[in-house]
Amino acid sequence: MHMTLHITTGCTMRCDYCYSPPLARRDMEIATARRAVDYAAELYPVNAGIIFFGGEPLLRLDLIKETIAYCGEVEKAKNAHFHHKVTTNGMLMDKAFLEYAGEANLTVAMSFDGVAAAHDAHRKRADGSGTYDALLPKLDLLLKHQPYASVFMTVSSETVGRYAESVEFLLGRGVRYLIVSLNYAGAWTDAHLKTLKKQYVKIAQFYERLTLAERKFYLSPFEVKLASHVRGEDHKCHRCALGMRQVSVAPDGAIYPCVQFVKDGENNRGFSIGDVFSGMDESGRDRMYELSQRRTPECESCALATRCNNDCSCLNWQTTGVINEVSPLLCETERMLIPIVDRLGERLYKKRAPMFIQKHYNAVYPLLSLLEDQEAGR
Amino acid sequence: MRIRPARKYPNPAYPAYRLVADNPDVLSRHVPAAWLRNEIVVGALAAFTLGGCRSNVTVEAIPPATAGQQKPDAGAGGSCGEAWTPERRIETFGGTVEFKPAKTGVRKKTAVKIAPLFIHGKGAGSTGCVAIAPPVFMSEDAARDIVIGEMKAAGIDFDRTDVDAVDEKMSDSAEGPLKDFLLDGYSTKLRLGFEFVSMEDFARFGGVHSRSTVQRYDLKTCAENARSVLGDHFKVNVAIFYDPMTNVDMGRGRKERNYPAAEKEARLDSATDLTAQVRDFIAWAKREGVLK
Repeated sequence: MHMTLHITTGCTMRCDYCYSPPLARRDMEIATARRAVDYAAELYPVNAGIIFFGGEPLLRLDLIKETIAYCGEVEKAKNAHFHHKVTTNGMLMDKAFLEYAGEANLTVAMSFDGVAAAHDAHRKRADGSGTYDALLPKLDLLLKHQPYASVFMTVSSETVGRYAESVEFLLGRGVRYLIVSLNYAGAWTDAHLKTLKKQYVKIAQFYERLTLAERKFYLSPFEVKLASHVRGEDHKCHRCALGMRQVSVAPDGAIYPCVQFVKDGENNRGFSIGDVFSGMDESGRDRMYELSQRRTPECESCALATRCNNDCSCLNWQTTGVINEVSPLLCETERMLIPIVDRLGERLYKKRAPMFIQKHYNAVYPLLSLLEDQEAGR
Repeated sequence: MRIRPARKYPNPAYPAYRLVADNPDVLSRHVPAAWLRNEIVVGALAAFTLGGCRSNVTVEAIPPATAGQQKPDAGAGGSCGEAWTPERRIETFGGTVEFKPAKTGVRKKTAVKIAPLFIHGKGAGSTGCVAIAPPVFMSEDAARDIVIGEMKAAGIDFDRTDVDAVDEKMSDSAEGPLKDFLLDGYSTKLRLGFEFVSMEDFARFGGVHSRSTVQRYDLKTCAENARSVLGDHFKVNVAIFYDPMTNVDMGRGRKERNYPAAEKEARLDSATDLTAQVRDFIAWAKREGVLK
């Protein structure tokens, strides 16, 4: 169980594709954060994840520190266990914070959109200036402190022509976990889709080269699509289970089934499924979950249904207003991507590429990989 | 843009997880070179993947094996079920796992790298009466042009060709497959050679002539054999490439059967595959420190 705390709606940037752009700033009170921690420990004492989210969560580093300290108290008192993560735009990240993160076992994920032209197209300051120059050294600093840090990259219709270039750039920069999403809310045309297809082909070729050279990396959505075939039925456990495995908590303590439903924390109450003070509205959550699992007849009849991202309720709701209804754009892009990834998988398997085989077919690959890195660092 | 369900979708030609996981040989035969250089990782791989039996972990890429080190060689690591004495620990999300290095073989290696084979082209095919799509063979000269050209583009100059390995004291054996063996190319500066395994090398590296009207050639396997032989006896780094042996496919995109045109296409494909082998080698060699 992961509990994502939206600790502030304030932000240091004004990215024009943001799904919850900063309105009036609302911050979470420490009492609310503490209660959320208590509630997470009740729900899943084994190993609850507390994720700090925003807005820009590092605006409230004080609250992050207090909350993590409180988790430590709860761990001792209730025999619960927590892990922590923060997703940041990087603007406020510095050496002191990263040293603290290292001590507190706080995993840091950063948003970065690739080469300068792609990044600065959307990720801007309030005055409209780009943030690439300011953030590139921060990315390097993060990777120095946390080599396995996840980097989130968003590709829009405006930047799709630089998709492959940006992936190469970031992986070349030392990023090992690169998670790329399309901005489905943007204005995509058929011409953009043609460009996207070319970019996917280029990325597949790059992926192949890196894998044959035995480089270790994680690149979503390629890994996800490969896994959806390789793992088959088992892959289902990684699919969206709306409100079941992770919930979001708005600054005032209201619980939502996923991050995008929180919006500004005030104006989307219809999707709230309780609050951390009085607990979860179980029937409301179940209703939403059941709806999210119900496929439309079109998706039901599709041969790619189990491999498609049609189950992302956040995305569906954002693009169609209905949590189980996919957008035409998603349908087009998924039908485009899956065959490209499958041809890649076929080539790599045919060549018996060792890194491909270990990464996708060896259950203990993550452990072996970590061990190798630890040994290399000795 | 619209919603268009895919009515049919062919099953991809790479296997599902269970097919490979149930066949540990696949996992043990295809191990990244960097892992093979690391006894702890080899030990862990064997312990987890092969149920404690590490005798099947074979060497796809011979590790650097600096002087005094031992190579985690095939069959050189004790038997199945051997006690696994903890030697060090690693923290994981699920707790603590303990390892000790794999016991390794007794053979000492010199500081030599024999590059892994980079697989582009199946490197096998048949000729004779029932062979409906015979392969094209690449000559040593044509291959040399491609290899040397690609290497040169990457800044690697091979200043010598057809180097007598024994005369030049590159090999400690002049017997068996290494009798009268000439290395196809050599860079004195880098102490790096290359060997292109062509049909001319078929018998030298383990191929058997059938004495019938149908002959099967498997130069990829011959190249693997060459790796093994050179790994055992050579004192310089060597890259090994093989003839991709593309089949002449007269039906490919053609309305009329036209053998010369199809043969030309096959030769082009072979050249492309060999180029890809060389490029993969260059990338690998840079990463491994063979090339700076």
